[in-house]
Amino acid sequence: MAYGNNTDGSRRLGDYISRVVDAISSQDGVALAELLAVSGGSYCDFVASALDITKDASRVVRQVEKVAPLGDMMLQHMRCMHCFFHRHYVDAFNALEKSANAFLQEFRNWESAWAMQALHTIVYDLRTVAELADKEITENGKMPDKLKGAGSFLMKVFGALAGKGPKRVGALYVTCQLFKVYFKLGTVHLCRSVIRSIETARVFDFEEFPTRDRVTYMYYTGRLEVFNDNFVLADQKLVYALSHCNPAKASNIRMVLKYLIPVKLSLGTLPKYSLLQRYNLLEYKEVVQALRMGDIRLLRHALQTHEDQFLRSGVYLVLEKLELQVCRRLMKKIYILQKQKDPGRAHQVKMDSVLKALRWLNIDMDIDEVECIMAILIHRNFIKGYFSHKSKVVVLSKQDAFPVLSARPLTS
Amino acid sequence: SKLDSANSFMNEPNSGLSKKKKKKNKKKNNGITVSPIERNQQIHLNPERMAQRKARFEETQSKRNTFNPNTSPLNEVSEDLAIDFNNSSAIVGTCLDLEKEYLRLTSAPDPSTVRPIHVLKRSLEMVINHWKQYQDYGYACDQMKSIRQDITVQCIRDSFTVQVYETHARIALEKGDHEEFNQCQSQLKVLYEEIDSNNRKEFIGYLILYYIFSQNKSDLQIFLRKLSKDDVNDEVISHALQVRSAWALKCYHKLFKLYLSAPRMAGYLMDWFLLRERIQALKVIVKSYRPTIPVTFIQKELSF
Repeated sequence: MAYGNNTDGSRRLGDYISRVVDAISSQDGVALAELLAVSGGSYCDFVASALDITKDASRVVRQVEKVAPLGDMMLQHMRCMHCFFHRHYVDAFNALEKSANAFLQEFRNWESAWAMQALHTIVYDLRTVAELADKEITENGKMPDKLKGAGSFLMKVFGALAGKGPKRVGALYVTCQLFKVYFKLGTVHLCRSVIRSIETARVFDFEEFPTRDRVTYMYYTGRLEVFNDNFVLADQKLVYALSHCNPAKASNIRMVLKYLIPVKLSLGTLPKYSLLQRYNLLEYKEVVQALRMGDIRLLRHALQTHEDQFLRSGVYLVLEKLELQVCRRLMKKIYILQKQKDPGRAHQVKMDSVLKALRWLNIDMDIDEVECIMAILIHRNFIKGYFSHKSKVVVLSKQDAFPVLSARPLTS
Repeated sequence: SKLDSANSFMNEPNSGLSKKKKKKNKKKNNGITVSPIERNQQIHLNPERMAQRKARFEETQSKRNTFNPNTSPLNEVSEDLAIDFNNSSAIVGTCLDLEKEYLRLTSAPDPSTVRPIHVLKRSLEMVINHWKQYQDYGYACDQMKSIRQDITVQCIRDSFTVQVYETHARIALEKGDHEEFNQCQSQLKVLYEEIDSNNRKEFIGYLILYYIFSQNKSDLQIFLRKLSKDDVNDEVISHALQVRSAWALKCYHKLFKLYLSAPRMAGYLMDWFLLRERIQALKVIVKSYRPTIPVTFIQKELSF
């Protein structure tokens, strides 16, 4: 789509570079950010098509007044835009990395945080271009490593921001970008060092960061707690994210709920069906139903049907553990039925009855396995009572045999 | 001795050989050295298990010729001493020693001390036979490390490399050396992405069990995502997945039943976390059962 001649191109490039120089000298962070944006930026096509027809871009750069010391950076940055426009993502990334390095050096010298938005734009682009570059590499059958490189650079940026001073307010954004990189790469253990730097300030100034960043941060740290089975903490963080989330952003709310629901289920709170419907989270519908009814078969079926989805989002292991809660519900139902028939002896539940119930659900378990489950239920305080091995009976406590789930002491 | 005649800087008196290693040199070929028998090993020396183990190694060796470890090969000193150490590409070794001690490299290796691949193949056989016969873990591990080193400096990265790491992993499994197993196993994970192996699925199964042993839930979850439908049908992997789900639900009954039916070498790995799980199970039983419970029941439940 090249039109015009060489001078046209040089003029357009010169024009662009002058605008960048102006933005820097007037410390206009917003304008600079807009000028430098690569993916989804308004100047990318403009620069790329100009480069298509310009013979010697470096000469043009040098000719613009006051461009130094960012001359090299601009050259690389424009190269990146050019490659990006022509979908050569690996080359685009390599150029962007060089440009970003040069920019960061200058950024360190600027006293105030005026260029924060521009820095954030570069950070965002680095991540997105790296992802595209990795896809390109995999398609060529090699091992992708650009996202990893982006991660290392982002750590450098984080280091430049995380200290005290006016620049600290931008650190949370970079942290969130780092989370996205690590989650995508599957190297979530690397998040720990970043979290430690943010959370061990002498006065934890979390509330001073922008809301948008706080929500994202709590979302990712909440997910990490889910991974590590710390449900109480996960609950706190995800609820924070949910409550501070912009109510208009339904897709963000959905993302938080996707992880909050399994956590709440583990803590004994069931969501309303209408909630699942509103945010399109119907994969949880059968799970919730199974919990309400004590239907082990339904739970297993739900897990199998949506296995891929649950594994991908990482909630499979959490949902799997709900089987014990479903068993508890089943026991409670048996108890209630027995109470109706014969209130005096209802607190003794024979193994035979449980086996009968399970068989009705088409679940094949031998008596030893059922005993094992009973023992676990008692141990975890899902049920209060004891098990008599000789007579194969669960003897429930006469008071409060089925304690409220949230009152349980949380063992791992 | 063989090592003295090799023209290598590594055999200088102050070459860094610790006193312990020098002593071991002398003892190396003095008859049978059997490592102290731990409780588990009593099961392992059971003739049925020995036969199983022999069968396993036979599988990996089926195509190679048998070799008599007692003949010492001639040692040719390399005549080509003008070796370019600055050439960072792979070197080709010329050493013909079958046995070689492991010494950490501090500079570029001398090709006359590095064994070429055809020698290494015979060395591997020798180590396997030695391990089978003498159960000397110190010797086997040392020799395996040195084979691995020779492979690495010659940049050999093919099915033989996989074989070496798999063998070392198996030996470490039998001995119960978690760290060495984990090292080999991490290398295998990377190698399997480039080179296929018949044992790939088996080792994936062991990796799942290893995650259970190290209680690494987050990595386990990420790893599960990568399993293909084909993988899940494999004997070792499906067993490991069942173990995982029993472990996740803390269902000791199922867990110990699976222990008894562990395929291939999975039993060795499960041994590593068996004690921990037994203690957990005992806690549950003690709290929930009343008034008494027969020891025979516990014995059966926890597969003693």
